[in-house]
Amino acid sequence: MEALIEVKGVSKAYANYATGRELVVLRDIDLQVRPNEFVCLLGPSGCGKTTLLKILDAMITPDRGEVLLGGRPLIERLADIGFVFQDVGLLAWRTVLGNVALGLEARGMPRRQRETVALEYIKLVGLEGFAHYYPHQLSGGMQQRVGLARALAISPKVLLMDEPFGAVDAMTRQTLQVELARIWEQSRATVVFVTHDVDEAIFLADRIVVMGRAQATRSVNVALPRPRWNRDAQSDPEYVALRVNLIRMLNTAHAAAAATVAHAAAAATVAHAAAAATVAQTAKGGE
Amino acid sequence: MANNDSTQEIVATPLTATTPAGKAVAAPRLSPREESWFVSVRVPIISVAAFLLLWQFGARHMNPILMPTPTLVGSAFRDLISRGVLQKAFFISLQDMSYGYFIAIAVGSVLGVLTGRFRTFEKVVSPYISFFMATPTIALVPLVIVWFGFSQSSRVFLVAIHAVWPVAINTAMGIRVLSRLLRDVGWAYRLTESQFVRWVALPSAVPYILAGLRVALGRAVVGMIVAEMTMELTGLGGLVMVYGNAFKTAHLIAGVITSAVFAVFVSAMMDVVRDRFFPWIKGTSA
Ligand SMILES: Nc1ncnc2c1ncn2[C@@H]1O[C@H](COP(=O)(O)OP(=O)(O)O)[C@@H](O)[C@H]1O
Ligand SMILES: [Mg+2]
Repeated sequence: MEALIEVKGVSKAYANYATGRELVVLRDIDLQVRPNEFVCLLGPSGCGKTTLLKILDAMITPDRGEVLLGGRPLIERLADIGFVFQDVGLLAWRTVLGNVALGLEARGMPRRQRETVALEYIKLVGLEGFAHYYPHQLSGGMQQRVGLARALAISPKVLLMDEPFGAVDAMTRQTLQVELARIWEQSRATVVFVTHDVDEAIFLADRIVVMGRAQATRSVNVALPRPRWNRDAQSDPEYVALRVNLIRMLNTAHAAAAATVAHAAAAATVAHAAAAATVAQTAKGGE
Repeated sequence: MANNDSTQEIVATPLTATTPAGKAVAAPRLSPREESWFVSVRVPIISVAAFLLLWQFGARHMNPILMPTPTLVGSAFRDLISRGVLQKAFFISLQDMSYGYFIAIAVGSVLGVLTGRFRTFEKVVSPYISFFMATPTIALVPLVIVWFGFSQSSRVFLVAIHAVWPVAINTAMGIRVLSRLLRDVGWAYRLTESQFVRWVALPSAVPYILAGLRVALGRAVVGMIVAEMTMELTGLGGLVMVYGNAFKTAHLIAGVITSAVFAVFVSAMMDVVRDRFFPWIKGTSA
């Protein structure tokens, strides 16, 4: 299938004023994301994941290379990209409703209409009844749900998510992962999801792109069937193999060559696994 | 001033911080809440009462033109109120001050947004801001009279020009320190420049702006008193001036006290406005 997002030879360096040297954060990155695909960018912290994601939304201009969205260069700010920030970035002076409706209001949607839409998404992320709360009255996990609802409310073709569950506790994170998977299966938006958590990536992704320091990447397909939250992942050999493989790739992340490791065989063995623990639950064991 | 809250915090924090170590030590003493209530309410009252007593006894045998007793000041108050002089002065002052203050807020915040948002504009106006900040406002009085004559406009103008700078400077600062994250949010959700200023930059600067408004309020009161004393004698400033010239010191002191009460009153009004319209500030600054 034709790629919806195409990153071609993107490089980015930051000047470090203290040392006077340049820090190369991204070097010749190529990446393709197909429509309706859920791609996880997996890499250690500081490897340039946020920078790459912001380049995808033209928030940062790359030094070299280009990003195509639907075959067109990403020069203009395109309207149908939703962004979920690592630090949420809610507007403290707006209620949940006002925050979720932000993107719609910016497009000039009339009040009643945008509030109806916003309430729908508030309900979708499980915050019904909290529409008139201010962000400081919500827990971290709830704030992140608002961030997600705000991004979803503009019905984006592309959803960019930057470690959205990085700052919440393990239990909440697991719940949020399950709900994100559920929401995504309904909307089928194209998602680029940044994480440094191997199990989170395996649980959510169709394809995992492993990033090393400033390096081009290896891409791993995750062929485990969906929905994934009611399988016994620990007893699933394919899952374990994938996990070991990913961790090894992270450890040797300096390898420049990009290769695709297909896991087509996974589907068959996974299909009749029992439903005791969620994939996410197993996730906590390793990190 | 209406800062019971902050006094309570300052008093309460060290106490609660030390109590976990030894409950036995803390037990015979007042609990932090009782103690802070005692310190913040009773001690000031006792202090004022003691001061009034000392004043009464000290001034008993003094010339009332030099130092009238509190009882004399009290009867001056009664006299001023029964003739309606004080109320009228208070009302005129309130008008002079509020008009000038609101003009200062309107002009200052627009000026602040522009200087905070556009580097070039900042470079253009910063010499003038420095100039006016450094100029003693009282030196402008003759010029203002030339422009506006002996009128309320003159007084309002003087209040505004004295109060506008802290509003402008703080607004600009609040907008300039806007976080990278909020800039990115504005970008991600495709806000136009004007939407961004109204929905993100200005509200995020509100704590700074309020701090500026507080400073500006103090300056507005000063500007008001100066204007009323140095132009046509009117309002509270004029009242103080008139009775001073007539050596009616008790009335003069009554006017000064009323001016102070006036300042506390408008400052308390501002706290009410802040809590009413910006409920989220308490949550974020805490
Ligand atoms: N605005 C910036 N200026 C200078 N250096 C930056 C800037 N943003 C990020 N960096 C540096 O670039 C590297 C990659 O950052 P980032 O993309 O945030 O990584 P990640 O999201 O993978 O943790 C880090 O070493 C970081 O210090
Ligand atoms: Mg990051």
